[in-house]
Amino acid sequence: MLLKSKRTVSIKKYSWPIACDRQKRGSIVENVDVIVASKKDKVIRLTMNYALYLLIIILFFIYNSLTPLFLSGQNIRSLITNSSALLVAATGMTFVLLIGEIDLSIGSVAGVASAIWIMLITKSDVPVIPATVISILVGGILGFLNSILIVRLKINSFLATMGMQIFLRGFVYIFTNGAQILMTPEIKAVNSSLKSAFFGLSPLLVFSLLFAIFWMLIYCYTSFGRKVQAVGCNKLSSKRVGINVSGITTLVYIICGMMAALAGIFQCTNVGMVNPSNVGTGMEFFAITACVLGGTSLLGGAGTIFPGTVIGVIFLNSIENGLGLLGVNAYAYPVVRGLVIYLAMVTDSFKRSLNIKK
Amino acid sequence: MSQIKRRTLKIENISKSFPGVKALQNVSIEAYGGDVTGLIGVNGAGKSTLMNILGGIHQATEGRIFIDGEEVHINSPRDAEKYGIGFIHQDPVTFNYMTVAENICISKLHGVVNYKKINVEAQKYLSMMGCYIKPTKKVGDLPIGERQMVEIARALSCGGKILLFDEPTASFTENEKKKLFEVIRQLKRQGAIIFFISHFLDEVEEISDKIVVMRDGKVVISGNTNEISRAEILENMIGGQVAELDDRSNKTFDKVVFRVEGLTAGKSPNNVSFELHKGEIVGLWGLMGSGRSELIRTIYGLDKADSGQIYIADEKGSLQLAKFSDVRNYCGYLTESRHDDGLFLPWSIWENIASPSLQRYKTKGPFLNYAQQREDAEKYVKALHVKTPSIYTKIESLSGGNQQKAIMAKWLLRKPKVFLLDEPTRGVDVGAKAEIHKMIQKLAEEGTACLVVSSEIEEISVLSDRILVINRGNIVAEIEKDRIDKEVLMANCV
Repeated sequence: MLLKSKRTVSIKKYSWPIACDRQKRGSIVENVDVIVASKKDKVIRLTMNYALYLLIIILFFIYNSLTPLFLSGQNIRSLITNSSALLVAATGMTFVLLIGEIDLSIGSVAGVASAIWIMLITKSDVPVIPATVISILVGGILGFLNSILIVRLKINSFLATMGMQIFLRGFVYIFTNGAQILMTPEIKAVNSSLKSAFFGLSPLLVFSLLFAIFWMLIYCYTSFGRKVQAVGCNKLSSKRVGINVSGITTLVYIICGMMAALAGIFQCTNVGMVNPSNVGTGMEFFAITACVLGGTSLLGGAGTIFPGTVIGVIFLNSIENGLGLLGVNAYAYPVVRGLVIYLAMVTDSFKRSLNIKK
Repeated sequence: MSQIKRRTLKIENISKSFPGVKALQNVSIEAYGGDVTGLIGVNGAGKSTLMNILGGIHQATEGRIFIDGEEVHINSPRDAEKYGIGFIHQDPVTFNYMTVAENICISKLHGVVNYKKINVEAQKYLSMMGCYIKPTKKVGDLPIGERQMVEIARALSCGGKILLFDEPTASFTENEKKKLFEVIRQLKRQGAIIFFISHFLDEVEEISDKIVVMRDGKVVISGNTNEISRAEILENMIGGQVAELDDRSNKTFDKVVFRVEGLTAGKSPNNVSFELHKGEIVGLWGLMGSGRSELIRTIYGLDKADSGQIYIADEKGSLQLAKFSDVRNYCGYLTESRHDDGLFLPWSIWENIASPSLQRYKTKGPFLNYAQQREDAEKYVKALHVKTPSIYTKIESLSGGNQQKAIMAKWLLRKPKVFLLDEPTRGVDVGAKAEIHKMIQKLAEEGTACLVVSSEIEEISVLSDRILVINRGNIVAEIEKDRIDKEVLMANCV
């Protein structure tokens, strides 16, 4: 009977005691059917697993055939530089999503941090680097505030951070008095001196990639990172095995706040000014989209920063970059962006339904 | 003293009260290394609370715990781990996206993770149990039995001095259970103190050296397993008599009310045909993965059937071909897992009971007749002895047995012609189980044909008038009442 079942292609007889203890096969009374994917299924699943990569290749191919400028070194560099703010923000967001929570306040945190940053530099004459450190710390404190709302006051993270988003946006206007503030020569000087230190690469590009790699290493190879994933997989189990779930959650929100602050500074540096109504608006949704595109689950526990989130961010930004090169009407950008995001989401949901069938 | 010093665990006068409830009252238990202590009691008797106190999840309000003669204070799961107490929970609590090794070592990770080291470590604990799972595999890809092994390995990695098994077999197949018992015996030989909680008396009798019976937060009787009779245990567990089942052996059934012909949906069910008679209880017996739940789901129209017909008797008693989408109007379906798809957990009891029968509460106006719904719910809650403060109580706060009774009530209200029951007594204590069996019999008495799926060979052989054996989506045998026994069933299902 066992032999017969082995011959069937799609159902393989599998019983875990066999796997556990091959010598004691004689005593097996029952078997568990585990449906093993057929070759066709495997190909589909593999395609789906790498759907984003395929999509990005197709997108690049289309753009490249329409305009040779697209894959030029300069454009790629500017693409990644323009992505740097979002990349930094999405890196922090990945952590929050990994523990199964959400942070909608990062755009406003970015706004507040960059407003404080520019005011420190212009009004208080603080040098650029200490000012940057201070605003990152401010971001961390705001993340900590979020975590207090969520961990101590037990407010749902969606609501807590949404409130924070509205609340903090006001402060951006208060700090800047609603006025746009241009980058000062000092900032530009620091930027260009860093640029020459990095062999002509934009410091934004270098730092954002370094941070992505740094956080990926933290996530994959430290006990903190492993516990983040554990909390995301199953909060109850985490508590039962003695993981400090509140502590992990707090740390994750602090990280996210700090990265959001840095993202705000990056965005302003890239644009050349702090515009209180523009800086960081919508950043949270772009960041979440990038994370999800990169394979991070909104339910927590699954996802990667590198390559996942990084690819997600580049994908998202390359859509607009290419459209810009093609000279498409700027009002049409959101339409195309929306369509492409839906395409990616559909493949993702298709992938999930395949996995469930398994 | 000739023998090596045995480990001891002494629990002295432990009490625990939750707001409004005294969960434990002056519980004292002594346990020694190399012994398995079976802890039994109905739901809410306080077994799990006691285990949670030992595992550091709850803290005792009063009382002391001694390990090897020294008093210990267990305030968190971390403390429990320090004292070598491993807790294996009812449902495997694993991190599915993470590897086996990570799962086992998660609470001991510090700083930078050395994967090589934790893989070796994990392998060590797994092989202690004679289990060869690859430590780098994702836990989500393992079958449930192996996940439980991972969890036991995690408990072992805490030192494995004291192991608490809280209903580990609830979702196990017969064979996984055997394997688990082998592992427990091995741990016993290694001198661990083991506590074993289960609803199944025969399991506890098989594995444990000592039995402690709890009721209402107190230890009512304890002693060596071979010195306590089963009747004694049952009586002390329930604090009264267990409901006796009727003898239905002389009943005959001749009126066919439900016929399935050539039902096929993908791989399983595969060309299934059978008949149900009026007032008959038919057992559907098969192992996990044999396609029994799929068959029921297909009959009920939840999974799409590829081919086949279903006939249902009309008022006059003649069989009529029914559309798949109509079958559910005549059937009740008690699902396999009440938490996932059997109940609306945040709703009150009356809302749950009325939910499948909203049709009959139509009024002329735009609203449903709520008073009638509540009245009916009240009636059934009383009739089925659902233990609840009121029908307005949220159903999630009831114990498993009472939830199951409430599910029975909701289908009884609809008076189905055919009642499909998938594991009607899973995770239900002995008292409630007997009551549910009684209810099924009563329902059959009133003319409903019942199709009962159960993993418990005992349950299915006691309850059924006839048993259909399913294997790989096929009905492979039909066993009449007088031929039903364990060997026949086991022999037929593989």
